[in-house]
Amino acid sequence: MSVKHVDPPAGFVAGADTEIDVDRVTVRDWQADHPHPPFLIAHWVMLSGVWWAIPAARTELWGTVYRRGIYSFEHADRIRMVVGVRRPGGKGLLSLQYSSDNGATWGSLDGAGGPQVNCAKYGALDSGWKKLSQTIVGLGAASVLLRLVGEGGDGVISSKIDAVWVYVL
Amino acid sequence: MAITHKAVAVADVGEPVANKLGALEWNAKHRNPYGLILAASEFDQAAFAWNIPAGDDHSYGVTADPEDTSSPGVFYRFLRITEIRFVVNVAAAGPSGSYLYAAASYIDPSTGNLVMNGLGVAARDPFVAVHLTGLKDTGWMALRMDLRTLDESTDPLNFMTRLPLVHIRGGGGDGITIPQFGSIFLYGR
Repeated sequence: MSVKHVDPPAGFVAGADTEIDVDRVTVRDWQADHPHPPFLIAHWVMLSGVWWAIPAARTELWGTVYRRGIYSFEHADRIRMVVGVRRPGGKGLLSLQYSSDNGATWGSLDGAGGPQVNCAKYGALDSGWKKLSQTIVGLGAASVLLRLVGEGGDGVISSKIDAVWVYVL
Repeated sequence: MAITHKAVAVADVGEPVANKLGALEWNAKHRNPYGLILAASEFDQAAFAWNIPAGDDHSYGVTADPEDTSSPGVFYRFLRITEIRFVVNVAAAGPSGSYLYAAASYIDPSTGNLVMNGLGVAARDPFVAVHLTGLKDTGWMALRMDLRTLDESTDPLNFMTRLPLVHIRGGGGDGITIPQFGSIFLYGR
């Protein structure tokens, strides 16, 4: 979780968290995470579904830059992508990537290729929660571009992609 | 940021002393990620297109019938939202002067009239010009504060007096040049 108080008010001493009185809280309480539901940060929906034969080489979704979005990950620490694939038969991996240099270079949000799903399956494909990389966390409030890319397919057999949801915690 | 603890009185928490919290600190704001209010993306692989009519302030998805208010969108409760950000990826440019903005429609409980304005302080904010292709981003803008108090209405019979419909409006088209939009994201925090 990543919802926290802003910095402790003046007069708090870090680590002085052992003394608890009735009706009072300590530094540790102040800095504790708060549970909250996930935030939906991006949603691409294709009402009729779209067939896409994912190429072998890494290719932006449908070969266009116009699906990209913008987000800043300040205060987030985990990310999850869910992709609705309506028909099996195709193959390839679908991944979410970011760019902090206006599209010159791209990287994965968890530093390990994710979030990513394998479109050889069908249904609601779930990347699971991935911890944001330290690079992303280090960007703070800076906005980054987001894009979807496919790779590892054969460019012949298509999957039908209905919708993509991206969540953060 | 806008998430706060449930408010407490000073007497409930105690005056601040060393390493302890008073009510002011307890009530302080929190930092948190932000999320989507509305997302619109393509209806087909070629991106979704809207032949924006000439003139100002048309609602996406409605006919020329002035009583048609069926613009697709979401009913959204703006409680605790103070800022909005509008991101539009223009895949095909509209004519010079064409634009989009994120709007809210609701029925003013005090007058019974339909109100339709941009979500921002200015009537057409958050505003993006769409006469050039590429990713357009308004950055964070203040939300019109009257949208935050709508849900305090107690009229149980009229849904739109309590929740505004968030949808897309635009203008400045020529009815000929058809802009296309690959992604539209509206965020709130």
